[in-house]
Amino acid sequence: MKQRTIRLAATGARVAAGAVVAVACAVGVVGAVAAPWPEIRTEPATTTVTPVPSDAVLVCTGSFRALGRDATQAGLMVSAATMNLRVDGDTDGTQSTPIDAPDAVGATAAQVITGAVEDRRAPLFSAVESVRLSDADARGYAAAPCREPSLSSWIVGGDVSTGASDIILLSNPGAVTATVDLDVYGDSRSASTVVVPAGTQLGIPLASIAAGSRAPVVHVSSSGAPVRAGLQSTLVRTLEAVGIDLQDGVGGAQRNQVLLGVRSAPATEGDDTTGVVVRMLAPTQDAQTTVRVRAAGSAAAGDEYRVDLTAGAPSEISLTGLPEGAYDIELSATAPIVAGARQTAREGDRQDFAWSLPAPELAAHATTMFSVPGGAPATLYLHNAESESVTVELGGPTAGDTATKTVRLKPGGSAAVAVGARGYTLTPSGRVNAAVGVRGAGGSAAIASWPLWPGAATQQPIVVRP
Amino acid sequence: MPARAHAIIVARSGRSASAQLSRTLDALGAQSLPPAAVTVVVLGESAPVRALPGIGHIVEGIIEARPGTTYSEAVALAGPRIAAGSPVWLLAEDTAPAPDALQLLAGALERSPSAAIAAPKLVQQDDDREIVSMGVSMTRWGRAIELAAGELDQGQHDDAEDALGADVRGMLIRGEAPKVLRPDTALADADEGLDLGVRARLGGARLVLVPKARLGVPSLGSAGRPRTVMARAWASRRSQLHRRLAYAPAAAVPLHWLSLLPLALWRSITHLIAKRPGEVIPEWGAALAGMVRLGALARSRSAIRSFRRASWAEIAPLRVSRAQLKQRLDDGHGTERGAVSELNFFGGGGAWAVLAALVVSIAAFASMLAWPAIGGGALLPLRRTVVALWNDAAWGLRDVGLGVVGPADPFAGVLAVVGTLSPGSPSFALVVLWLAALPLAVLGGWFAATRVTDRAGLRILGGVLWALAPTFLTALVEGRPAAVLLHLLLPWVFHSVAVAHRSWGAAGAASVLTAAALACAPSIAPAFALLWAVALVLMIVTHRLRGAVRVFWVLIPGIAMFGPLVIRRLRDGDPWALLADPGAVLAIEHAAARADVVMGFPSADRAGWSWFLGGALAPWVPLLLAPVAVLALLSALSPRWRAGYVLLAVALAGVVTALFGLGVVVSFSAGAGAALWPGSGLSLAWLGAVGAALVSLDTVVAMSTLRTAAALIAGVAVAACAVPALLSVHQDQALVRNGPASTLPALVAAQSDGAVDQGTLVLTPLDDGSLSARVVWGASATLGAQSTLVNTATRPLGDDVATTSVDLLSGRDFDAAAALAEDGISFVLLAQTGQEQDRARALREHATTSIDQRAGFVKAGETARGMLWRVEDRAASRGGLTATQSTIAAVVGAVQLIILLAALLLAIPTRASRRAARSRSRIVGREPSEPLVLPRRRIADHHDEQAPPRHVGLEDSAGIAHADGRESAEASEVTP
Repeated sequence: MKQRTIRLAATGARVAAGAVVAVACAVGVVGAVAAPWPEIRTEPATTTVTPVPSDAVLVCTGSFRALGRDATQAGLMVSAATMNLRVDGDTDGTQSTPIDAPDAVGATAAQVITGAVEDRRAPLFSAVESVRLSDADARGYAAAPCREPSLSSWIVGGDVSTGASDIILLSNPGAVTATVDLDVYGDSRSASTVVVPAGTQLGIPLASIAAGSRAPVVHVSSSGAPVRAGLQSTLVRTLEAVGIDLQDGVGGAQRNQVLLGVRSAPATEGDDTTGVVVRMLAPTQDAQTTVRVRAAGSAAAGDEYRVDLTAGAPSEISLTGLPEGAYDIELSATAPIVAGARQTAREGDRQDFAWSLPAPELAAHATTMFSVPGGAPATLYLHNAESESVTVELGGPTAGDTATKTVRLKPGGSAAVAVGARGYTLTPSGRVNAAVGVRGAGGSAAIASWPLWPGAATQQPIVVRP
Repeated sequence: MPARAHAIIVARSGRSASAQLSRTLDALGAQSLPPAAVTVVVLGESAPVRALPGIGHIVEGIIEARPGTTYSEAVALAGPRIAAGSPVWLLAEDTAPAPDALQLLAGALERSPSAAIAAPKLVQQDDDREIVSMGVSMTRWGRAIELAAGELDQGQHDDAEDALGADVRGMLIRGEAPKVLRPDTALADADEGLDLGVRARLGGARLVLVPKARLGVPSLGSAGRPRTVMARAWASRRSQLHRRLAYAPAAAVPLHWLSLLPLALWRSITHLIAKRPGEVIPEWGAALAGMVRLGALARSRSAIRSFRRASWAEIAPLRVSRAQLKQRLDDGHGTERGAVSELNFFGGGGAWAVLAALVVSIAAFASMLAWPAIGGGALLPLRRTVVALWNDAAWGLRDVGLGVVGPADPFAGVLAVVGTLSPGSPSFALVVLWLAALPLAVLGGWFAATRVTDRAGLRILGGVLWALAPTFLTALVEGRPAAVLLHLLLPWVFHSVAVAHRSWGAAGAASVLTAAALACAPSIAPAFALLWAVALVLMIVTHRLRGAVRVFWVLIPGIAMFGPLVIRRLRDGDPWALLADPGAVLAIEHAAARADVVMGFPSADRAGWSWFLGGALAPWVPLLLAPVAVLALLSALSPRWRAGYVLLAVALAGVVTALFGLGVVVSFSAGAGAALWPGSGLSLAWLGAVGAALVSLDTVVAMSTLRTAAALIAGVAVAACAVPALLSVHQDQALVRNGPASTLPALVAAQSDGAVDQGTLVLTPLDDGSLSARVVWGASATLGAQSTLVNTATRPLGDDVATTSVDLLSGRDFDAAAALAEDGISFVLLAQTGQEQDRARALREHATTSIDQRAGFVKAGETARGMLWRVEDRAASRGGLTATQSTIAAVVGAVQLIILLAALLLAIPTRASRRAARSRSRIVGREPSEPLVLPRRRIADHHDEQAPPRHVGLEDSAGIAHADGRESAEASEVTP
């Protein structure tokens, strides 16, 4: 009997202790979720190396070409006008060399501006070209910066419809021949190859390679030497010239893009072909794209559209119903895409159009130089890509210039700054996107737009990770 | 009447020894023929001896000697006090002679004039029916053999008279014998009597046994008899080697001398295989002492020479022959008292479970059957040759980075073992590993379950639960080789560690497996060390020292493997980096939240449920693991609560490890940090949880239908939880994929052909504008070549490759090709990230243009992995190690190899160790109070053996004896 009692007591004690332990385990594990755990985080090894910069090379366009002025030679290109070139910054260290444009009648040579490295420093300079035409077959305003040549770029805003005469301009500033492949994404895929000799500019009518496509996108890839690829557009609608444009190539497909300062000028009557049109292409993979539109300079949420893109097929959406004004368009896709937006300016019965391209990210503390052309009032659009406030310093082209201006951008916010026809330096304290928009006022329909591209990648110290 | 004997008593110092000495002196006083004089040699402090009452009347002199003095040296110290012609009686402080002992011994010498020495029969002091020693002989090779030790004295040896030798205690040496016939001072507390007997024979005399003269001795202890195993091993080996050299013909001595070290090596191996690791160090000590102490050898040899008259041939008949030896070798057959615990792997259905898992594995990973290599996730190819695999596991030049010298990750050793299994194509071994992972996990889980339950069904449940662990399946699907290997190793670690305290064989196996498991996941080392330390303390506190020593060994190979890395990290001041997961770093965007981890899922997608069910239902999935958790918690209430507590502690340690790991970011891949993989800790936690659940099922749930139902619910729920992960390869949701044979372009792979002296500089522009510059040696980046030294580096390691890389892209005018070739780099690969952004692209394009324009680079073209250039200059060979580094590499390699080899030799099962293992319950931690489960069909056969050996439960419990009446009362409750 006594043994039995002892046994019962032992069992009872065991069960009680066990229950306490079990409950303690459960409570401990649940409590561990909320408990403050130590964080141990080390910084990975990096080496920062300041590269010796290479010579800066800017390739300009030279002449604005007109197509089909000679009725007997439909493919003949003649120079409609020579563009006004504006060079700002450290022009003492630069050197201009012309390159031939043998296939355009009467064309002046395009300028290649080279800034030679001196004392391990590349000169800081920028150049921009602008033109205003008022011919019967080409009327309007176009402007574009001179840019470095590259191995690969995408021409997004091509048009081969009736009345459009678009020309791809390939300029090879180098000393060796470049072999350029043109892959056309449109209703059907096609490809062609062009050999661009050293020091030569060639024009290729877009209709000759992308005939019949409603919204062609051309991938220009060069081997042998980098080339500058651009597109000049002239549009005539029912015998009326409705605008010209100079457009650069987009660097490459990526998932997040931002188009800054896109102008909307809704038609008050008749068929509306002048609204903002966004053209997108997912080159390799199907992508779901979200298009967000908000007024430039405001952080307020705007309209949002969802577009499903099929790999390799360009697609356009028209942003109808946007009131007059400038807009920022943010695109985020599940797969890399290229994009551009067509904008129109309307002044009375005159029209002009321009393509706006995605603004690339400018690195923190890196100085970018840009020039603003004359001929029409210009605006600098800024967008903050960081999740914290960023200040952007705008300065004059020379070191002693006191005309500096500081712009503060809220997290994710944007701003529009009026700029005059001169050179500027831009130094952000964080990552920003920036674009220049030119829009005529007071009776002239003029519009042009281009993003600010960063300088050569090796002008900044490079962080090397093992 | 011959001269009366002079007794020499060698006594240890100390209180108890003094008391024994006092009894011995009393016995001397009571002799029917008292000795003429008594000399006491005290080893150590002599004051307690001097303080003995009345000692002055009996003892002629007390000599104080150093505590470490050997028996023969002590006797030699007393030598000058012995009157010429007086016989010498050798005693120790605890040898109590029977009253007529001296008289009988002296009489024997008197009766046989040829006898120089008379030796008594040594019996147990407290039980005089047991013989301790009665005659010693030796084998042909000189090993001393006790002729009657340990036998019950039934007078069976009382007619023996001749023996080659005897125990030195109690020997009476004739007074007329030459002075050199004294114990050889070179002998180390063993074999003195044998040596005396041999020398007497060589001198033409002999040794007589006097069975009637009895001396009571304790079973252990006595002055001059070593007490510990190690000391005994040292003494007997040292004495044996000394005798070998002393007896050998002069010409053979150098040969014997040369053979000492090789023999020590060989005998060390046999000691280890025979699970006597304690004798290894004495073995080497004895060999080295034998080699060094040539003076003593010369003295012994001249002593023998001085009075030798007979030939060795005369001794031969007294040696123990092989046949006799065989007769005496009792291998203990039958000591297991009937097989208590057969494994029943086939009979219990374990084999079928493994087979079923193989079928499931092939169904789930069917496409892998066609893969030549596996990639994706953290998987990389393995080296192409076995030699290269093992090179990666050694201290030296690491095959990542430029000139990085240092210790290897122990994981490289595990990979080398895996890769060696498929020597023709090591990378294929990983495919096989993935295909065989599920059945291997079932196998491991089943064996681990044998430590918890004897029920066949529960063992299978253990295997299934182990194989379908969410953390394991996630590791398989995400391609994490280290985590997969860890999960396959852990049950075996448990299976062996649980019994490490029982035998050296288990401890050896446990130590190797633990080292391998820690190599796969250094992050669980703190949990392991903690559990280990707690176990050690508990065992020491409960005075189970032999078990504690075995458990102590369990972590030693692991420490040896990690030692060089630990030293390196501590010198660098980077101790946290030791926790880093080995192998390639997989930086994932969405890490698991703490709640996921606590519920058993190491990744945010909850073992695939996120894509399988979508967001709405996925949060309820952890409920599928609830039955196991509840059963695990119940184990604390079970009769086998100690096992339950331990397993719950293991589970908690695992969960804490996993949670802690979430906040530790020390590994980087191209600047992106990766936290420790929480799955490693979860594997440990799962081990504890499943084990505890099995304990509950085995003990708490008494009704068999209820038990079956609970087991089924737990098993089916976990199986349901595994469905998405098993489908993911078919649904293309898995990260593992048909891997490339090389991470470099085919041209590089073809040119290098497995050689590691060809470097490729891989430049990858990153989206933040930075540049990743890595050097890959050989045909591909490989899993074994990855080094946590490089992956966790917080400052640049080795020679600088960053400056050259940037200069290559910049406008600097220099001979880039020559600079690269000088570093041994033959290729430059400009790779691009998966989804390249503006800045990365700009840098890449700039780099392409820039390298294209440089002289000395031949463009090999655009490949699937990026743009490739070949460096025209002939690449210089890689710098080797400096002399110091070579020495470190050799020392580290040798030490690690020796320790691993020792552990492996210990782990080799022998017939005796297998029998010993079988003789005890496979279950660990069974309480005496719980009812016994017997295999059904055995009950009828062994009705009388139902009661288990009583000590099983007692020793395995936490050491608190339950030797009350409950045990037998419970045992009798078993109904046949």
